[in-house]
Amino acid sequence: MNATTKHLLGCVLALMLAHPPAHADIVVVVNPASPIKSMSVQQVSDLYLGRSRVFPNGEYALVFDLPRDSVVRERFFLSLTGMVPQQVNAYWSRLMFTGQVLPPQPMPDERTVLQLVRRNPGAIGYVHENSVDATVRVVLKLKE
Amino acid sequence: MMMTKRIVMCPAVLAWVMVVSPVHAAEVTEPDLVSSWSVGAYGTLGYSQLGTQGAHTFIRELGQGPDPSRSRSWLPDSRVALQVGKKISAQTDAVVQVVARDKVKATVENSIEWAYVSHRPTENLNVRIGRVGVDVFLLSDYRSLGYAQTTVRPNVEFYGFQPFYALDGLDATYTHTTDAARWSLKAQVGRSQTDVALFDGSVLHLIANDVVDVTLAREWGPWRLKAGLSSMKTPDDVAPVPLKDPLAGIAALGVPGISQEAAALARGMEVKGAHFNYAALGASFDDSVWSVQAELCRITVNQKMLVSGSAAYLTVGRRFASVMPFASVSRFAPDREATVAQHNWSALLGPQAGALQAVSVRATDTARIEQRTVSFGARWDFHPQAALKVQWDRFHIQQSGYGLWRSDVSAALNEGRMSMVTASIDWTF
Repeated sequence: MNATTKHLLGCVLALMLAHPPAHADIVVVVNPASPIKSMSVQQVSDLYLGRSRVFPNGEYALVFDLPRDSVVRERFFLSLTGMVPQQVNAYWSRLMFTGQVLPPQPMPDERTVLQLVRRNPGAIGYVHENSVDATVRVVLKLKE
Repeated sequence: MMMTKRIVMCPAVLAWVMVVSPVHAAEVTEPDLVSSWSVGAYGTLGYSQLGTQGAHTFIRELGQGPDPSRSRSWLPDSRVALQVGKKISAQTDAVVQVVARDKVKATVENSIEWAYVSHRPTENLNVRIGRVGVDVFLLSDYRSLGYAQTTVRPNVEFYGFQPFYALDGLDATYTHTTDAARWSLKAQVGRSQTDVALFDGSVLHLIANDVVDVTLAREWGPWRLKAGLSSMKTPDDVAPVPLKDPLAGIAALGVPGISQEAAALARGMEVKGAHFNYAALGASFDDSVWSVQAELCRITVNQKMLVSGSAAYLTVGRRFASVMPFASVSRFAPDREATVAQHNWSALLGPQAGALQAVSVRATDTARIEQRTVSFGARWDFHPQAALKVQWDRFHIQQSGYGLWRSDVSAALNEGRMSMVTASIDWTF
């Protein structure tokens, strides 16, 4: 393996780490101090579709989302609810502009979501599985 | 007058509440990223063109005014809205929504479509006080939000005759979630008011008192089902329509047949003391591929001058990635026959009386709707927050069934067919 090949492989490896592979599972995470140990698809779906504002234990949930054009968000809602992005966006615009409930706070990227979940005992977010570490707790893994 | 003052003050009080209220400390732990304020906006820029330049021009809803240039226009579908919300505590929010859209009489006050404080004493109960959106049909409280709808506009035969958008009062929603479905029971009480154009271009300020709306909705999987009942009445001090006095004069002459006809025409123009009752059932299905929506409605009212009858529509769309072609059919059937002249007033009372008879017969059918529409179109979600739509409508209007059109006073109300093409962009942020 010559130096050029090694350099190319290094670049590919760096790109893979920077952009997790599309087939990586998406996990729903909460703060490690949260009493919530696991959640069902229905419970997470209720939070992300505005049907509930509280965790199963009755605690108020601070729900974080990713930007509307995020591929991770598209895969998350498709796995969780079966809804395509156009459907999710229209659904949330209806809820927001009929005053029923405000949509989850969109954060710029997964790193910000993880930071917020680490800092807030009542927070919940979703990221790629290979983005998480011991500073957050996985409560649901979404298989695609 | 008292009511007007209360309405005008409502947004001001809300603004004060929104500014001075403290934020629940436990909720805002990241001040740079998580705000207790929310600001959103939506809008539609739509342009429509009728196939022929005729005596009848399209309106999307009864609250829109006559405009002779309407054969091609930006006005019927274009609108823009701004919504500001403030989270006062974990249980309490304040919301103001202002919508600028074409109206027969647009003011700052009637552009504030929502201004309320909502409170959730429990997770299942939400109570709102102030100005809230009228909510009876499937799309009632978001009919201006084009982005959330498949077609360019809600079907005119179903939503065009409903002039009331806002309700000054309160509502309460109780939700119950099971593993299988989510149920919502909602009740509204209050007062509504709006302006509608009459046959001669004058404006009638229509007030609905004692409004009671009740809806029951069930959502499960891709399905949404909603049943609604509404009752309201107009007050007894509504100003009479312009022709009532001359008709009363003919009725007082005691001319056999003609005076009875004049009295009947005058009664047909009553607006005061009207009792409206709506009953509706709607369903929608969206599994990410197919989108289907249908509604049925029955409207009864004890005054001939106001809209009554049955309405229904069906809309079907099919998604191909970000493009969704759709087709829709809708119909409004009146529950009374068109008014017909009974006697020859000109022969006995002269041409002026004949003209009065002709315009009176026509005026009593101002709100009579008898039409059906077939529509085809496509929606393209070209951006996560915007969609482009094109739609072709083919209207078939029966004789004296032009209640959803603005017509020249001299135009014949014969059976007719019209086509219209519309292109629009809907957006939210």
